[in-house]
Amino acid sequence: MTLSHVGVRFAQRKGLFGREHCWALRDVCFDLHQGETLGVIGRNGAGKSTLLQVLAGIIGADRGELRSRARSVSMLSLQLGFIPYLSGRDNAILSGMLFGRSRRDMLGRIDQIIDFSGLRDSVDHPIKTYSAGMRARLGFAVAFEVDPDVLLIDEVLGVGDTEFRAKSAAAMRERCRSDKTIVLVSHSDTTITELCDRAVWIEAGETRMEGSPKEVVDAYQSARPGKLSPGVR
Amino acid sequence: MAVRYLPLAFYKAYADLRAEAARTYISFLWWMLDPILHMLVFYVVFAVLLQRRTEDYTVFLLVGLVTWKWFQGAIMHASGAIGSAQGLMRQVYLPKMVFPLSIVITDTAKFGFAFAMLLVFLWLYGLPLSITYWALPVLLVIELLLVSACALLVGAIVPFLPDLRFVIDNFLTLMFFVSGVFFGIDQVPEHLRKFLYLNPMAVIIDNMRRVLMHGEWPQWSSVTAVGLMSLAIGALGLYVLRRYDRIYPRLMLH
Repeated sequence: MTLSHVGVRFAQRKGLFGREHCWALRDVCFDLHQGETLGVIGRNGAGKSTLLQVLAGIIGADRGELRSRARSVSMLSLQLGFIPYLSGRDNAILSGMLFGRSRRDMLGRIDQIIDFSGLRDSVDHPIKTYSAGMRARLGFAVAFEVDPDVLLIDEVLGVGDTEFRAKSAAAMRERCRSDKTIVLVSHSDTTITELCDRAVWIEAGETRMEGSPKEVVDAYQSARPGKLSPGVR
Repeated sequence: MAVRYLPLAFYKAYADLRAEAARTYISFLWWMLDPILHMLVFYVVFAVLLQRRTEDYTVFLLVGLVTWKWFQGAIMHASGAIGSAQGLMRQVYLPKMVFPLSIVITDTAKFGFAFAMLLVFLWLYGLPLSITYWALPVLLVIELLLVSACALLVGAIVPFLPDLRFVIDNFLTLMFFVSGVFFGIDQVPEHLRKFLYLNPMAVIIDNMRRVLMHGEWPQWSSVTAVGLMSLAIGALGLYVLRRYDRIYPRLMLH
């Protein structure tokens, strides 16, 4: 995937007919190579989430160009499209189909999803009876199993209670280190330096720097005087 | 490309129906009971209170109501389809036609129950099964085409102009009155009739009555015209949906 000078603007309605535009992304350029894990670092409001939406093909760029040869690109969206009154099994299939998988494909993967989530006993109950932790487990298991060509991750690596958080984060780290193509957005310097092959720093909708994780993180840190500790979320 | 997502529209419709059924105690029985109650209300008002007892008035009314409600329900629900899927479409790319189409599928399933109730009623009422019932699938397919086409167009446009919902609500009320649900179009002054038949739902309802009540064959020319009109409306709806495919997820951020 190649992004060259990508910009996205949003229209803000002012009064009855007036409009005002603001650019969420102004000028973003970088390459994403097959098999690498690319870290994206930047402050709140720098345009990281908008960038992921452009990469996932959810919104189009208003200027610049995005070239991609990947067949499927999607965000790691947890509990996508879950319906409270529906059973865990049906929700898993629906969610997988929303990610672009076929129903048959999901039926073939359902056992792995159930095993990974550890919800064998309650998978046929409606998920409104689940605790928040159980829903998080199922949501993660589905999103993890969907496995697109290019995976976009926004902050969250692990979810759920302590035990499942460790298990899911470990699975995610495993995948980052494998030759999957991944874009990982994070505030955490350690996550970026530990898991990524390269990193990009986005500031106010523009690429400030692209390079090795260590260099980019260091430059990013030194550009933030008076900062407290590295924010780990 | 789009055909690949049809199974998703069906599965989403199935999931929504199951979820809706799970919300009430007698679940899917409501899909039969609701049309019966709906028909009962109109029966009480028109046949009992207003004494409009021309021959077979009850049957006349019910055929019109069931046929109309399919159209009205789908259009009203489709107008909110993309709006209520905003959260979903900001997390994953989906062709936007999935949302109005899955609405059409749920409303068609509910219509199936209502229509079955109607056929049972006609049978209990003592109307004979006529040979013209063979034309029924054609009429149903044409109405499905019309319902889908209007749902796609309304679903495509309302997200850009949310204010249109009020216009559509009232337009549907107007259409309900001029589609000949509780009076025959042949009771309208002669010089106005041809205008009323420009309304596709008036044509559909009229032809449903021909087949179900009078054992006559549909007027194929006007039914075909409705079919062609639907194809044009549907094509326009699909065009708008595809043209602005990646714009819809950012609309509600205003």
